[in-house]
Amino acid sequence: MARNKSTFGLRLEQLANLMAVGLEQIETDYEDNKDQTAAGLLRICLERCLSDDSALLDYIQVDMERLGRVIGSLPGKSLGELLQNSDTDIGLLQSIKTYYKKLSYSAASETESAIAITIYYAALAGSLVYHKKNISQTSVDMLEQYFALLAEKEWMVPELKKLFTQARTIRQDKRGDV
Amino acid sequence: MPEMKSDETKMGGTKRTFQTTLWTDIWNAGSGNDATRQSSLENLLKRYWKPVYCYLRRKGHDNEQAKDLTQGFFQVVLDRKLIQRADRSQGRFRTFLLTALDRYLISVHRNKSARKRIPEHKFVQLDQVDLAALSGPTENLTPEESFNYTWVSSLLDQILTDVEAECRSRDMKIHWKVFNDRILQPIIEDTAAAPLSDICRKYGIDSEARASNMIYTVKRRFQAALKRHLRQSVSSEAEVGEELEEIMQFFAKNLAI
Repeated sequence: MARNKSTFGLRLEQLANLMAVGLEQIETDYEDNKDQTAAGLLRICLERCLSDDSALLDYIQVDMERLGRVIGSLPGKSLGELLQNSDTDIGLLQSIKTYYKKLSYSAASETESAIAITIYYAALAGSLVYHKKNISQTSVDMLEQYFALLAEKEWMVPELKKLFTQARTIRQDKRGDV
Repeated sequence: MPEMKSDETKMGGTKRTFQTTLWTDIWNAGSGNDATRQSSLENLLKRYWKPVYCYLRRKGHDNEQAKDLTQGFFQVVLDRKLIQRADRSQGRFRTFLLTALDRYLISVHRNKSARKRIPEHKFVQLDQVDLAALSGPTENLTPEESFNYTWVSSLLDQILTDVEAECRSRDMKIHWKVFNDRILQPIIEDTAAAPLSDICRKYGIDSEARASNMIYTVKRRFQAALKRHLRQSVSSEAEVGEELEEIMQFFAKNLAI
């Protein structure tokens, strides 16, 4: 399907339209459903079995082996299940956090980066809610603000909105414990 | 979006330096190193022979004259005197080239011996190109507008070729196909864009949101390629903006007629 047709011969309007692809603020075609896109991508990330995301699964397994921890039946679980389960090992949450932080830097689009950052903060929220531990270098005060920002996003899925809200509530209820 | 604290190494870098520019190419084209000279000359010719040829046609030269003058001009570009007069701080490469071309035409007119300046070795194999097809789209444009039209068209061809190659090398073939079906072909073929739902079915994409994001990704790469190409012909980031503004003015002026 290699392109073999030159743009030479197109009308000026057509050339202008093509050039506009490179000049627009990117968002035109995409802006209308930007929230929908983000929500859709986030939903896919959360519901997909880890066995279908080999890069994440490999990363977690290597990380867990390094820490000497055995995590059974991971491949059949989804990221969403892990983030919402109070039994999820804190080492596993740390591994998810690190993976998505790295992924946010290499994301191919702003939306993919936003989704990676969201899951990164969801792992931090999970560690606060289930283990009362802050696994980042960010202060809990700052985390509280970030959780609030994320929970307000139009595209945030309900289960993560609930997790971010819980993380803020725990902080308010047990100030000083984390 | 909230930022992340830098407790880990940031992947990649943000500092951006200008790559080898066409200004460097023009200096290298006049250098004594054969390999560098050839490579730089090929880069210049790839980008500019079409605009130069079309400009000459719109100036009233017939096919044979325009071919000879195009060959001759690129010989002159290699002339050290011209290169020494080229001051990259005084403007963009495209402006320099047009000014140089006008000076060359005046010189040829004075000498009335264009053929004396034509090198024995032809840099561009113009006989192999469908030159008749080149004059059509620029028929109603001034010589300068014709140059700009051809330059923009060549620029877009290079960008699209680069972005497609990048998509293929990064295992993003479906990204390219979706962009091609939804954005590129409707513009080139003057047809309505296929619904995203149809495109999803065609390529087995699980959601329209995913397809939309694929288009967004390719558009980003298109933008990056555009800036990368423009940076090669200017000497500062500010001039990239000026070049873009001039392109838009060219379209605005001619589309308003």
